[in-house]
Amino acid sequence: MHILASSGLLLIILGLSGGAWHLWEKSEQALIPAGRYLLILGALLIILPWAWSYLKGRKEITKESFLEPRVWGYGLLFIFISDWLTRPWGLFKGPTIRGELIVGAIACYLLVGRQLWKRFFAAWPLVVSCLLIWSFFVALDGSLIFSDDHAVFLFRLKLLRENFPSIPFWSPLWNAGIDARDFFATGALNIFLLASPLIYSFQVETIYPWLIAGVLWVITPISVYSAARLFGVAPLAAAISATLSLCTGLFWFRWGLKYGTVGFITSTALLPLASVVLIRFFEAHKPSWREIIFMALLLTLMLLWSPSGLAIVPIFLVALKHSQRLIKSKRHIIAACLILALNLPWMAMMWKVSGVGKFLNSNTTSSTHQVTTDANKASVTSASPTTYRHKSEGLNLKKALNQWHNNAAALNPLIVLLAAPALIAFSGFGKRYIVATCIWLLLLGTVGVSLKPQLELDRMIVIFSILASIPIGQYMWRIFSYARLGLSWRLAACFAGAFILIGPFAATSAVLNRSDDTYAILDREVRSMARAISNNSAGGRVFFSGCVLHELSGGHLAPLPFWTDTPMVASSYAHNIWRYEQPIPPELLARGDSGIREYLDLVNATLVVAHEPTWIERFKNHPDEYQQIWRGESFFIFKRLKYSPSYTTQGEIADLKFTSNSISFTPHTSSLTLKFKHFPFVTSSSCVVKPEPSAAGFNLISLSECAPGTQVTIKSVSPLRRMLGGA
Amino acid sequence: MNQQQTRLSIFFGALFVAATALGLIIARMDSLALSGDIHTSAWFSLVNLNHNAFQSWRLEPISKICSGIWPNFNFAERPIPGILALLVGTLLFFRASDGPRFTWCLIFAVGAPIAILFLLITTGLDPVVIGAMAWLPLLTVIARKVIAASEPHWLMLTALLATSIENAISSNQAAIVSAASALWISYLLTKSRDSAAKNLGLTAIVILAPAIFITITAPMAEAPKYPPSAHVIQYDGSQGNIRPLIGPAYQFESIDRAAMRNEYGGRALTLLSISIFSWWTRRRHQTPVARYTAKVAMVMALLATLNATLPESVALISPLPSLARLIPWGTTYSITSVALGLSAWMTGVTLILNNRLISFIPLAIGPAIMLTFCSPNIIHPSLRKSGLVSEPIYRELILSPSASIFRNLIESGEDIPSWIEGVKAASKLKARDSAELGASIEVSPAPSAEVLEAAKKSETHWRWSTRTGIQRGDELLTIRFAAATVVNGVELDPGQYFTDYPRGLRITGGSCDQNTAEEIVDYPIWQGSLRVTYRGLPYYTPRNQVKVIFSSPRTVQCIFVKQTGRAPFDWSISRVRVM
Repeated sequence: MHILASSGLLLIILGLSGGAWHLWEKSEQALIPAGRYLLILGALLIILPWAWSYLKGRKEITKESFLEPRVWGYGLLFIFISDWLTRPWGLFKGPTIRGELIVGAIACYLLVGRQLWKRFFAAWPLVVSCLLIWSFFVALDGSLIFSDDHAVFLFRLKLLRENFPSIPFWSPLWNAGIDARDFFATGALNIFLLASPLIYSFQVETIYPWLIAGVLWVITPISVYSAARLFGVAPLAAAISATLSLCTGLFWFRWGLKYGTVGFITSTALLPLASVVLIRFFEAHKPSWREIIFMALLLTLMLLWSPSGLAIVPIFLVALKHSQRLIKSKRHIIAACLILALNLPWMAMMWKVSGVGKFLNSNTTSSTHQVTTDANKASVTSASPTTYRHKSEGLNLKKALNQWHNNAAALNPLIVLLAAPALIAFSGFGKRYIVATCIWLLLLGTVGVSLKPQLELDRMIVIFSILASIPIGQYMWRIFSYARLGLSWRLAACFAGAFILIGPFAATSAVLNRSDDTYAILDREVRSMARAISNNSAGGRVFFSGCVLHELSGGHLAPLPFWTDTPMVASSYAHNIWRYEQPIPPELLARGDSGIREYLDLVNATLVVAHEPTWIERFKNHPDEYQQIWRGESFFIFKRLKYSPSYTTQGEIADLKFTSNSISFTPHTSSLTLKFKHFPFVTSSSCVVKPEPSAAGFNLISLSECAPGTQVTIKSVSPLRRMLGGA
Repeated sequence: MNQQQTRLSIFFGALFVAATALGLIIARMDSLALSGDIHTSAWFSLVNLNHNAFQSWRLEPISKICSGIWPNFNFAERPIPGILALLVGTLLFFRASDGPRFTWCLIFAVGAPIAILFLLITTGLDPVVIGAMAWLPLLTVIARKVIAASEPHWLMLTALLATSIENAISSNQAAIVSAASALWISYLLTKSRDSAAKNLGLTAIVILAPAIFITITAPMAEAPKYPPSAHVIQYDGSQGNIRPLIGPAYQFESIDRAAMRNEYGGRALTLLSISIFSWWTRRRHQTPVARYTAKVAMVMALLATLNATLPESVALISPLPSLARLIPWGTTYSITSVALGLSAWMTGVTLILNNRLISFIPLAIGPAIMLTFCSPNIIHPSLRKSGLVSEPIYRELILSPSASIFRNLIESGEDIPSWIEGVKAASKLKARDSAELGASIEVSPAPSAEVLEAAKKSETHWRWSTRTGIQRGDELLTIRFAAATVVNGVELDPGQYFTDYPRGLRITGGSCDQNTAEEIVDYPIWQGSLRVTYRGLPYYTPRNQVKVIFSSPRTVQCIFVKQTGRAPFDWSISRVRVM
């Protein structure tokens, strides 16, 4: 009965996860044409014996019936012989990975046979952690991880180092002035606060790869191990959980290394420990002050990437049953106040400055302008917003299932197959909490994606995989413990063990950039480019023509001003546009050369950078106006001739100095118009600030009543004033 | 040992030396000399250059000192100190073995050199194998003593550490393999397992720590510069990328597995047979050491045999290549060579330790089999060329990752200098859109009218695709010119659909009757276009650069491009160009 029920559940999981199944690799003829066949068979395998035993008046199908270790071990053998390991985006990249799995199974057989496995698996997470960190630095080869948002996080950490806690603020480094506020929404604060001693002690560029390695391969396994131990899991099982957390799936590395969502990975790394601490807090009648403070700090760090709050909603819901007791407990109320005191200020600030409400409701599509240019003319066309990625599709179960298929293929098969029996078998403290949270995360990561696409809830599957490592580790420990019962048990343990032995190597392969998903490392060309900019900018800004997103060594442009000591202008310095955009307004672009010249004058561009063929051609076709001074593989830098740099359109200034949050200068006239973008929260030390419309598409800063010869500083008002004052 | 046995041992030892000498003469008949003053027989160059030759292995300290004393002697290509270390280690290995029947003199005279010759006959003068093996016997002997000792003396530990360091430096990128093998063998050979458990951890640390340190700090061998995504080893049609899972690796695959299988298949089988035979004939009478050395030899020979003889798709998931992908640097040198070298040495040691008439038969016959029937004379008759010395480019070619392509070109009878010039000239040919030449395109299976219309306009973003999700091997594209046209080649660019390149290609042309069209090229497995670097080293472009240059210009009215491969991807073309 146990074998039938477990097989039924196994088939249901395979049916839900796989779609069509092929033998060994994808071929014209599928072994099982669609997942529904497995679903039906699995359901029959559960329902028929259950009905039979029900009719007989016996209760033969119990919770234990679904936990037969051999069935789940052999289920992994099915994964091995099916086409699963050759599917795209798999962590285990077949077909050759089967060889490694065979080696792993043999090694596991030898280990289990000699009772060495306990000692081995106790040390394995530490070894794996070291291997992953080494692999990361081998891949970097002395350079810097720069992929996608890593560049922006580097920039944010540098800004935070200089400005924390006075955030948000006005920064003149980009686009003639930006509202530097996205520390809240992106979760940059959690990594900053966690690593602040290191960030203040070393150069951010020096410490940055260590921070990423630390979060991914030190904090994560420690968090999972500690959480497992606090859940009451045995040390060895906790060690297996920690190992599994290091190789949960390819998408963990995608978000961590390729997309560079550092706030997310930090929160996810902390989430298992934060969850168990929170659960213990709810379950405890009188939590100690030490526990309360630890919980409040941990929870705050986790919540600094705000969607993580959504992930732990079930913990609060399950805790509702204790609401009577909690309301009456002084310590619980004080703890709640402490958490609110720590989090309300930044949350309120985020709500105020980041337009969270607007973001959450941004389900409707909006039209946009796509601007194209060629060498001799500029044209403006209206593009349909088909690429708008935040378009809600409502509840779409088919899409949710597809979402799960895609994620399942990228996950470690141990997570896909063993999560269900592991959650059923979980005997740790707070089982209801963890089961509810895992189910909730799965729902969010599948069904929730089409409901609120702007939240990128597919990441919840990644969180699920890390959290599920805890019960799975415990269940694997059970599988290994049963290996002594006979050959069939031992083989099942070997199949499972192969994936935990080889999984870390599949992870090192991903870290070494040898998987389907690769991440970008800072190219030497960028340093050369930065030198060229630094040497030639001569009192003006650098203008990036066209639309630059990931063209610079696979990352965003954000940190360039720090490396060149030169402010810049581009369509986007970070990933905040979702379609092609030109920095120059369409009206100016439509005027051709004169419009472009006017814009470049308005932003005080002394250097222009081009990477799109049309722009390169345009600048090359005007040698009297633009002189090529540097070229790389994809970028060209031109120096503007016939232009005298000036940061004013009206009036005169001297001794202009930039910091990351202000400018200071000495005016020669009492009225000035600066080539800086005006924001309502910008203030001046001794002049009256007003906006002045410009053709550049934004308001310039207009100053009046300045005292000539007296130094003026332009910066943001204080964060508190900004929050309270409505600026 | 009685007198008769001693005589027999000496007799078969002499027979072995004679067989070896005869085989070496056969092997040297086609000496493939390198440029300058370095002359290497084809035997060694073929075995080594296909796998490990381009690795610029560092000189270990003893060789460095020797180089200082004799600067004119090339210690990198003639690893004399390594062989001497191996000789001394083998002597001590015998000395430390349990066989009380041996006399020191006999071991010195016959045993150790025979075991080393066995190794050299099997793998050639491979610097990687010699480097990995040089200190392994001595390390095993000392490690065994440490493991077995109740309280290891500090002098013993110091000796172990020193040998371990020397072993790591000598093995270089193969340090982990060498150290782990030494640890494994010494553990097996330890008589008392109780004491083994006690000191095993300490011994493991002392042996593995230098190896791990070298593995982490070892520099990459200096490879010539190839364009990104270029490859120098022919694809064999197996699916998926074979990339190591851990540690540094070159941007291209450097081990020619096809050549390895060709060279080692016969030898691995011979060695496996000999090791099984030697174990089986003396299975009840062997000393514990001989029993375990026989087992290690068998296991290693079996692993090498599996890798070298099974069908490629199965061989790739056999233990040896799988282990190679799991060991740092494991794919940058031929781990099969090291396994085979270890097996050969162990087999030699076992045969000597067995010291029976029947054991000496394979010892005498084995080398003769390997040296004659596995000789390059037989495997690569086309390589019987002399006079390659005169061109410096050959030395650079042979010692580069392009050695494999070079060998294939020689085997196909190409005159290398003119071939290089031809490729350089062909790469300068200007490609033109087929529409510019007034050509029409027909495709089968037929795409929709809409797609064809786009094709006619010769836009850059059109795509003709089979849209079946697979390549079946019967897809056909016909380029029909308005009149007879001289064509040097065709380009079928898959554009942004970079996985949809043809897996196999057969191009025929001439009149527009497909049945009478003349075959122009046939690539059962499309490798990418052959190019040369500015230094003249050949390489293949990525396979999705489908640019086929004909060996000579052809006057055709129609060109038939048939996709002959099979793959779980479409065949897509975004642009057809003609040269």
